[in-house]
Amino acid sequence: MSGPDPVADVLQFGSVASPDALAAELDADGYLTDDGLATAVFLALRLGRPLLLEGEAGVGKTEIAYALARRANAPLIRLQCYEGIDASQALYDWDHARQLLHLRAREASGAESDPEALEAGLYDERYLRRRPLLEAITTHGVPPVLLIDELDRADEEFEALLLEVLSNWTISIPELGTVRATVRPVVILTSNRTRELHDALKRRCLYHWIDHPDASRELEIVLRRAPAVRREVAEGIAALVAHLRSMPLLKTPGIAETIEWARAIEELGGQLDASAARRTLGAVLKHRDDLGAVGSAMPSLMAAIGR
Amino acid sequence: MSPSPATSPRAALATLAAELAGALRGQGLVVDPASVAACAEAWAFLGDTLNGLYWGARQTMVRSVGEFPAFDAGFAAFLGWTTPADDDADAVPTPIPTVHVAGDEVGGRLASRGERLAGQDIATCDEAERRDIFRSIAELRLTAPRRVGVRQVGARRGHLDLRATVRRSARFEGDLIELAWRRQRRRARRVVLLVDVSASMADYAEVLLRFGHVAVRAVGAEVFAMGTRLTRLTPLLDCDRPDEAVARINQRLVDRDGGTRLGASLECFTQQWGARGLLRGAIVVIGSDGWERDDPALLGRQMAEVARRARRVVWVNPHCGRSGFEPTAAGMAAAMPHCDALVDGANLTGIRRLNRVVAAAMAA
Repeated sequence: MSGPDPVADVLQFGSVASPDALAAELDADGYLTDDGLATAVFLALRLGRPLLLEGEAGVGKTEIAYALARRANAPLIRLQCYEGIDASQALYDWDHARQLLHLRAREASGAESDPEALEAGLYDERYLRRRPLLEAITTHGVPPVLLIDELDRADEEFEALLLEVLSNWTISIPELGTVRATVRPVVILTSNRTRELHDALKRRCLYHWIDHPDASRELEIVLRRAPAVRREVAEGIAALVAHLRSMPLLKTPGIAETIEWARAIEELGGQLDASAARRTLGAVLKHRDDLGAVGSAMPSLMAAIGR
Repeated sequence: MSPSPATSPRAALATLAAELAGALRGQGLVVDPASVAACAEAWAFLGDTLNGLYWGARQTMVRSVGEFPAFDAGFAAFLGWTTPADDDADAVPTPIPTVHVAGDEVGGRLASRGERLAGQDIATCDEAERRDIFRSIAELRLTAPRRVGVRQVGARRGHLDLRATVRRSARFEGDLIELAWRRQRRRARRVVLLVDVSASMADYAEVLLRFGHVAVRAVGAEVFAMGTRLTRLTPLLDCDRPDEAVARINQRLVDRDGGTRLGASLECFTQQWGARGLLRGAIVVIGSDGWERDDPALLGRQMAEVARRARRVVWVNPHCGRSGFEPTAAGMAAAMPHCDALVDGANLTGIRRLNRVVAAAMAA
């Protein structure tokens, strides 16, 4: 494998000796991990491999990249994937307006009249627009955290392009030649699993599935992220959300929704009963059918959590 | 707990990882040598706690959430905890997401005869009722929203393609003489329908073939019959009248109402048609009761292959609407983990739902 040595590059975490120590680091940043996720991130740093995180929306796949970057004092470079994304949005593009200006300037000064030389002058680094992938492997200093978000939204062809970058750590620009990586970024890929990613890409990655947290861990997360919420309210909300997740909903609530809901209840006076829960349901459920189903089941839900 | 430079612990870890790989392969997982090496490397960093062994192995050797149960079984066997779980426990399929489509119920308005028939099992209908149901199917509208893709291709008109324009203008010392244009490619997802035409599906296959007629005419779907072998039906279905299409199929299809070799038919399909790219990003609809004459493991492998390449896999089973339905047919149990949706194929309501599921998947 070519490219810089992964371990030496991740200096900020060079002293982190175990998944537990890494979990403590992330904890200090306000991100609660469990054994599995801490191990996955630890291995990604140590083995220098991309980490593919899958899981339902709202379990914190994207957030872990931000927490890691903050804790490591590393820049975070995010590539949001969407259908039709291609090299000009992910790798590089040329600054066409400035290229035209360049041609005009040359013409005006009469310096260059040979079309070949004129064309060669166009494809200078100055006119190169670095998109996230090129940016991530050619920065200087601290290796960045490269977040490739919602890869399942991109087309299959894009995966092939990504695979090339992630395995060779080079990007070839026809007009300029091959650009080699100066740093090896920490790469985190996320997928909501709307489709299966290509096996060749998965083979390069560590794989981890993030589950919804259990009620006790979610309680800790809520208390951490929304300090204004009283423990009693947070406990009730965490238990309610655990029940909601076992219901056949169109859109299962994520952690952010749990936090919002706890905040909403607190804003209304901090009394968690069936009527307050029903009035604030919009904070946690984002689909009309779900609102109807859960709203009518609210008394039994409250009974189930002992309120 | 720093990695030891000595080679012998490394070699020991590699041996251990290879042993685990053997146990995982015994559970039907595919573990390549690179994963074994990665696992050994991970273990070297993690130390020999049970947590470290488990996570280090799972994160390097498994590539999909669907493989976790098999991994857990193999890992336990590797530790000598249990004998590999017996088939009953393995056959429990991972839950597949239920398809929620609004507006399934026919409202309180005057229902036509076809509407009253909507929920009736096609196998229990008389000839006149069947004709009504067929007519309702022929009236289904499957519209493929021609999504404007983000991807652009060169064209005579459209948006100005600056990259190409700048390149051309260099020839004219910076004057914009020749302009290059691009426009967004329009495209719709391909629909592929595979219909089981074996004896056990005799009552239900025709409904699906008639849906196939609608799909071929409306969105250029590809339709295949799965019996003892694979037959491409698309050209037979591509005619105006559904009755004529069905008659042509009845006349040509020689292995109709024989046994089913779902796995072998699918294998033939993935190799002949899938290899040409027919499956890439497609909506694949498989209509079958899942009764498999051959080894269901082959069907499972082929379904995994289909699921990997397709965008959505929808299984239509005429028995799944019955209360207490369990995917007990060996083939169905093997296929379920790879399906995105399961639709009832026994009545008109089910076919309408199928129509909506396909339309929604094409737009997604």
